[in-house]
Amino acid sequence: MRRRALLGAGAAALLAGCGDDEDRPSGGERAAEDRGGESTLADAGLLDDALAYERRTAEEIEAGGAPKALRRRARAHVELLERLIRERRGEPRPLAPGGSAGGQDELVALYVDMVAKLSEPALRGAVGGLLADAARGAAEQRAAAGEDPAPSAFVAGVRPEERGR
Amino acid sequence: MRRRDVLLAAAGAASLVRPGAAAAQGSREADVLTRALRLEHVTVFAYDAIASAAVLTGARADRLRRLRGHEAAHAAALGKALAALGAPRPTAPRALGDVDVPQVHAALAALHDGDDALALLVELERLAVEAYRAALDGLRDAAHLQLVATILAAEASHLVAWRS
Repeated sequence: MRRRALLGAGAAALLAGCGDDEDRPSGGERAAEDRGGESTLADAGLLDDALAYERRTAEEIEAGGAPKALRRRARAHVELLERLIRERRGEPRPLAPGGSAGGQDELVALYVDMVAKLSEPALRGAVGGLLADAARGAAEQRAAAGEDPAPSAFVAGVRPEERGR
Repeated sequence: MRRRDVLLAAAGAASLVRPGAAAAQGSREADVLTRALRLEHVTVFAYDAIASAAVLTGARADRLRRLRGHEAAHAAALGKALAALGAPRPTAPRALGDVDVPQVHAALAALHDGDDALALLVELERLAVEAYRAALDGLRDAAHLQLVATILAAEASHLVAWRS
């Protein structure tokens, strides 16, 4: 077995280990419990906030002629968030005119804050994937600028009010 | 009363009504954090083993030392969170035989050159990103969720660092 396959198997084992608590409902049961309640609507509102950022980011990336992989990643984020909102509440809010994306570091801050606010546990894993992508994007931008891609042990991103400090 | 105080009061009231549920949740938090700390211990051990093998030089050796410091900081933060829960901390591996992740054990045993080291480091960080992402599903405490989220983002930036 190749090393990569071995390590991949390890990731699967760790994932399985994190999800084997007997008192946790399955995804379907959990979704049924949560959907339709106030907490689900609140989760959808948080996802809508993220979607607005991701849509603006995708627009700026498209306009800026970014590499294909980056454009594909941005579009995938928008599509994922739209789907998650539709599954919970209905149509996503339309993007308000104006505003700017603010960059990958702001997306990191948004997702770090969001994971503690979401009521549906399964959503946290999905948002964790978006957070990992945003952190990778921010690190890639630092590397492209000749900076250290990983300057901090704990990465919380940059909130809009901290921008330019 | 501030929103946070209202939430804390509600959480306290729920614990009084359902002490069993609160204990089960505390146990689950500790279980998830313990798994995360075990992985950090293995990661620090792997970083140290690569440093001892002296297969990375120059800027890559500097990066190894610096990111090893990040991993140790993650382990310390997770250990502190476990201590606050009154949960025991898992012991760190002291020799290759103590590494209880078979595939990491095998990769370390086969470590011969810089390419082996870089491949292992990339895969370790990828493993960490996936494990922390899964950990977010199992946690409920806001402080633990934010800690794990900031570590997850750091591991994702490590992945880029080792690929660049």
